[in-house]
Amino acid sequence: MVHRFAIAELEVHGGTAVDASARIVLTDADNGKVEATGTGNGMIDAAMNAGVGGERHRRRAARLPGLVGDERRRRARRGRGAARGRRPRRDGRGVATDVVEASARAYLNAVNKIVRLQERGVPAGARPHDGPVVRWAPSSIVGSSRRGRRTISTSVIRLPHRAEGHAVLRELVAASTPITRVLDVGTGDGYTLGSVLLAYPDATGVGIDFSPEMLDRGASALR
Amino acid sequence: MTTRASRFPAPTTTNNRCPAISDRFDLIVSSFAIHHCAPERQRALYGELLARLAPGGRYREPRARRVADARAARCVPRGLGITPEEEDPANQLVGLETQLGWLRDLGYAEVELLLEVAASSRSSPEYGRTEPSVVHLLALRGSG
Repeated sequence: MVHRFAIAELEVHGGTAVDASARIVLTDADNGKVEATGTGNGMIDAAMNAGVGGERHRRRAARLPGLVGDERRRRARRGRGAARGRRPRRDGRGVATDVVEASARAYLNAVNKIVRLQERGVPAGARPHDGPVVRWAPSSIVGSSRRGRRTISTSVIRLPHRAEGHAVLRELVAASTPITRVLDVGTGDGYTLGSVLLAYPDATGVGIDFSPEMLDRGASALR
Repeated sequence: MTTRASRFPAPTTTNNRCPAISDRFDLIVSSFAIHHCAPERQRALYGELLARLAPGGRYREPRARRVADARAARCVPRGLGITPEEEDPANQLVGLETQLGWLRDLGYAEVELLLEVAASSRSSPEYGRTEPSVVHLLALRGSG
């Protein structure tokens, strides 16, 4: 699999008293290099923003089409608004011993998927499959912490619209252990808890919330 | 006090503390709620939730990528399409790195991050960008 963009170098700075910043060097399939910097709310954010800048610079230099150019044509073909809610979403995985680097790699891999599909002429808004199922493959990395072995993995997923939430929840919480007891913290109108309970019909749920009014609404929605 | 039914129990009233539920849960979810608590309360809450997870149980939470602290106020939260001035003052979202540190220190065995990437629509001022705006946390309690 040819990756359009790859990370050659990634450097991040952060701390409690400074703005997080990142410098990234990307290579493309032709081994061209571009360097970009970014700042952000934290180191992950900064790395993402640097990646966004680098990817855009490189695409401009290579005269590649915009990431969502095909969406415009689809909309024109199907009528205005046809593409609403169908923004291109792709998943990607990133593996590294550091969560910042793993996040940047996951992001870039998702971008690579969009680019590859574009190069094959697949409309940017097309779905990889019918139905609302979100596919994600968790990639695990193992790092060390003071408390011993911990695993942190990062994936980039195509998030659902709210109506698709049931399938997503089922995927997200797919567990080897059976789920029979569910707690929803800050349950609000009960949407999240209801989605989980639809995915697990045999499960019993408990919702808690600060607001008695929201609890009343949630209770009537779930009844 | 909790109210339960076989399938769709009525949510139960609570205050600013987890209810005195003796049971352990296989799954705990929370959607855009915990960031309304003060940061120190948020950290304590994650510890209380861990204590209520059954061995091998999971905690899942979607959260916005941006944070609402002073540093973030100088960053435009592009992914969500709102300005810092429009940010809900009730939000006290902490940085992702901070939150991950809490979960590690509290003893969650695994934490998985799922980051949304959605290209902006043509009408968006950020057209052409792809960047994550929502992060899903999936934390696992160890089997021990």
